[in-house]
Amino acid sequence: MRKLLQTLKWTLTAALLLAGAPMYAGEWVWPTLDTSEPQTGELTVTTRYVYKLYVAEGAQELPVLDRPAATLETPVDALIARMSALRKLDYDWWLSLWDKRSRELYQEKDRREGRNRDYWLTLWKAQFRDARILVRKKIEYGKYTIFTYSVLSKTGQDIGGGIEFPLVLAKEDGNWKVTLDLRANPLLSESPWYSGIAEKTIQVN
Amino acid sequence: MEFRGVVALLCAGLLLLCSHAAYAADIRFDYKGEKTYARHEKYHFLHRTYINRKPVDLLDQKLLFNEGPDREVISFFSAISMDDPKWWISEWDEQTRNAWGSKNPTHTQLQDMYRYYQRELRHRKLELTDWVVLQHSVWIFLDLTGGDPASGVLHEVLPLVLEGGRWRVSYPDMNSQFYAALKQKIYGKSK
Repeated sequence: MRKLLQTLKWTLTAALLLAGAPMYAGEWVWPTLDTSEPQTGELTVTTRYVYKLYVAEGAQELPVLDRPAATLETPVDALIARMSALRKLDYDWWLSLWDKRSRELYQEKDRREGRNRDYWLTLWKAQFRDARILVRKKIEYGKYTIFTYSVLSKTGQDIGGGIEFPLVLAKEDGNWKVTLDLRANPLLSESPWYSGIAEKTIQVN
Repeated sequence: MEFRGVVALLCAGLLLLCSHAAYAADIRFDYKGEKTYARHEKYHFLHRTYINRKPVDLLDQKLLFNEGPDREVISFFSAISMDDPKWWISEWDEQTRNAWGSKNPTHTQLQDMYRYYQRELRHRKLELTDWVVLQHSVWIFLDLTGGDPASGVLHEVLPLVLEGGRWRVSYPDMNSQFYAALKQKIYGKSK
């Protein structure tokens, strides 16, 4: 009887999984040894992210540099180089500004999604060629420096939907490089420096 | 004429130097201080306690198909008891399996873990104590009992996730903040 019940439970689990049903519809998997009846429990895990916040004094517009004039000695240098490469439509320069691991990740994603140099150049031509870039904030978080920036048209109109875009930088072999290290970090996706929210509760399931 | 040529060359060189000189970035920021962002993740789970507890019989070969997460935990310790590292590593998630045999630090940590359990299993028995189910994982709490009375009972927790229709021990979950919090919660309640 117990064996039959177990088989029925496994069949139900398999059916739920195959149907793509939400996994946590109450109990969805069962033990094979004797247990007590299930009791519900709740657990809260708190993570505190500590960072230093700097706000740009007034409208700090980034210059557009030629590649030979740019350096990667400081985070600001790397930010200027990155935004110059975009506005100069220099794909190779842009690619060289990633750290090694992030560049590999990016190129792998491009291959998977069928994107290439032309795709990016067309995009940048439309979005960045004549754009003005204003730096808004600088955030220091561990070994990372994050800048936020706005994209304006030649006439000064915000063409980025009012969004402050983040750019994450970290030092690699003595140079500041763009990195994807924080791509899964909630601090970046939830950007408290932009939302103004200092605390958030997430219901995971 | 020659002098003019030299001057022209010097000027051209100077111009070239200026145009290629590094730009001295001057972006001014106001420091607004150190900030903290607190993120609370709330989890719901179902908790069962194993009853009629006794040392489980270990297996002499790996499971051929999915028999459930607690059977996979028994298989995990059986592999060590049989001193079969190949079997044991097959019980882990894919990322961890790939780290085995590589220069990745995870390999050394796994080797240490294997040796540690191997030592303990020479004189200890496995008992399952608690079963916790979350949205995508099952956490099996277990005791290694017997052995040196001075060292007491060893309490362990293994998180398992479904991977290709089989339950696998998740090394990333073992190193998560959630792991420590759940351990504290369950042991605080029942031990």
